[in-house]
Amino acid sequence: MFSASPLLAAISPRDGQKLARVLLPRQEGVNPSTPVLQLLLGEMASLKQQVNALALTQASSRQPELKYERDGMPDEQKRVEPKRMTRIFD
Amino acid sequence: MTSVLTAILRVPLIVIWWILKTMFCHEVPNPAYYSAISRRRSLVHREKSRVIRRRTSTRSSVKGHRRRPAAQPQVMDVSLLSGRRALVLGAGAVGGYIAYFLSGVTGMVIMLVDFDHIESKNVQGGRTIYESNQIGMKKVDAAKAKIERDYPNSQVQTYPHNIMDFKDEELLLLAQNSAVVINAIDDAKAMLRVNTLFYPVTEVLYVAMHSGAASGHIIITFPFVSACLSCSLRVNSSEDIQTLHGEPGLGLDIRHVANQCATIALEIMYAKVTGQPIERWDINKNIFYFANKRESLSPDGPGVILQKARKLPGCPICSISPTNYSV
Repeated sequence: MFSASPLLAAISPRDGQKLARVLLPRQEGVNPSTPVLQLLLGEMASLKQQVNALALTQASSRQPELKYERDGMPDEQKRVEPKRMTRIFD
Repeated sequence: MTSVLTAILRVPLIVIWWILKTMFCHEVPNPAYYSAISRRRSLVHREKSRVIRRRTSTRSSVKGHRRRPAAQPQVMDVSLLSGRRALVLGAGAVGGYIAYFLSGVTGMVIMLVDFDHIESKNVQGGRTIYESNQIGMKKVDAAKAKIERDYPNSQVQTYPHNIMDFKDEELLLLAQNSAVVINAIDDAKAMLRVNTLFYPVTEVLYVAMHSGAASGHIIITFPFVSACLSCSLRVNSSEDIQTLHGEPGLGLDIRHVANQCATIALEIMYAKVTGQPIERWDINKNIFYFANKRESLSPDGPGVILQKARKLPGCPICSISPTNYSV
């Protein structure tokens, strides 16, 4: 399962500032880096958790998949059984 | 070095073969015909390796690399076959149509063998070439009358006898006097006798229809090259082949298979006379299976399936080599 806390710990404050400059318009006298990053990573974590939960619920009820679709595949080499040709008339 | 030695050793063998053929066989095939068969095999092999090379290399994408232009289709000059002989065994539904088609195209001589008479069931539904006013006649006489009436340039030689009543020497003489043999009889014993006698002598086409004329087949035997009839059908004795009597079937389906058989026979004769290679089909494949309607082998509808029969190990007919064969 996805967890946001190691990511938060891995990001240094300087990286957070750089990211905030890109994501948000620069405002004088305000340093929004930490709360914005936390907000973004928190959203990502919750979305990831939802996706994981959904995948787990669907996997339990899914039918086993075929390896390939039969239709559209090239036909196998056809062989005429010699026995077919032994009941004859002219 | 090896190929040069092989070529040098082959020359006296070809000369001896040619002399023997000239002495004992009236219909001498052009020697280029047999070399064309082996050349065709090497051509197929070369073409396969060329395709593999093309797939694995980028040479074809290089600018300026020119591919060989496709060969122009050659039109068959059937007048070259005028006066040639074809032996047709059986003048029933299929055999009668084959003789009729061959005569109409080339004006050749048809040697027709059948001992049977025409019955009323033979003239119903367009199954045969015979007409209602010919009931009671021998099939070979009726066929001769009809063919020579419709195609005055053609000639029919009739043999109103059972195949089993001929002596071996007589049958061999018939085969040696003909450019191709077409077996359109459904008697298992006679078929296997023809197979044993004719396999080393000349090319034979075995044609037959299956239940309800829903399908049919043509099996071609090339002397010492392809599998014989027994190996192609995987039969050991005549009891393994069942003849269907009074079998219903659409005349057009029978005529379709007969038409294909006549075309194949014509192609073989033309190759023997002119020495040109056979281009109509891959001659490594000697079984034609015709599905006249959709079935498991031809699920979309009528179609043709070609395949190669393998010689069974130890077969006394087709496993012998030409050097060990004696008439």
